[in-house]
Amino acid sequence: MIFWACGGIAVLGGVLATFMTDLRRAVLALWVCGLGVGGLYLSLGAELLAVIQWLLSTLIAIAFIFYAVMFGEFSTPEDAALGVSVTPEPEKKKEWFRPVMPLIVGSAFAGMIWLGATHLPSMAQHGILFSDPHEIIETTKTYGPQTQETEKKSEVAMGVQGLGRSLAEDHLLAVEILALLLFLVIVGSGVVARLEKPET
Amino acid sequence: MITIAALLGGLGLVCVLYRKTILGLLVGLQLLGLSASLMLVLSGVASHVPNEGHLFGLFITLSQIGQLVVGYALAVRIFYLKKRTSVEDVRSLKN
Repeated sequence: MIFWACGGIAVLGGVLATFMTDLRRAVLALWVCGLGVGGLYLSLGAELLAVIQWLLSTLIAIAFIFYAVMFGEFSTPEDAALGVSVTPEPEKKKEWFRPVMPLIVGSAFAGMIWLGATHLPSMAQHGILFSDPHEIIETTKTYGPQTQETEKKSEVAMGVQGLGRSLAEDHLLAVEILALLLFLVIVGSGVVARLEKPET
Repeated sequence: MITIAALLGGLGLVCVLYRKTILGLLVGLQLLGLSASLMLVLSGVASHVPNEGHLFGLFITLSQIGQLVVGYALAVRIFYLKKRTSVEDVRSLKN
């Protein structure tokens, strides 16, 4: 029940974030969507990921609002120079057909994901397409994995302790690459966004 | 369950194609990232190796931060040059 409630909140937030005309409201909807996805993680037993998702969603929403306010919604450079924020720009002609193509492509993409997931053996086997995930989680806890090898591994890899151990032992290279990537992103963004002063 | 991830992914793609500003584009990319992350977690749960799914979801979530920061930097750069943040202006950064 909680899973579907969080799923509904996430999808509703996603719909509003996609179609809201005001960017600040769209960002708030994205925040709600992030909170909903965090709730989904929590109901799937991923507590650490849920907390990280909630924190990041909030920080991202704050950053988005900061940038949206900083840029404003200027219609012309003259308005921008005056600092006049022009809320939704009056449309010169009716563009009701503009969202049609994105909607078709988006629906095709969603359908492709859904159909692709039905062909994954584990998904189809456990009926994860429709059923509540709690049953599957409970099955995993009660009966455990099917082979002895994975059973031994699962005894170690449970909870946050197991996640930490797995990160430090099995996925150390991935963590290092991610750290390097984030470092390069910080430096590169500073270089890209610098203000170039005209040469005198 | 997968339906939620699929819907979020579809909405993300719609947002990427529909929005005209860079910040709107970044909102769509965030939705796509959320969908991918959720899909990995669900796959992990379905395959009875939940921790693997959680880890890959974590990697995707953290990679999204990098993507967002680069997007902000590009938006700032374009705003310096054009006083607006339209997606169409991105190609003006080429030269």
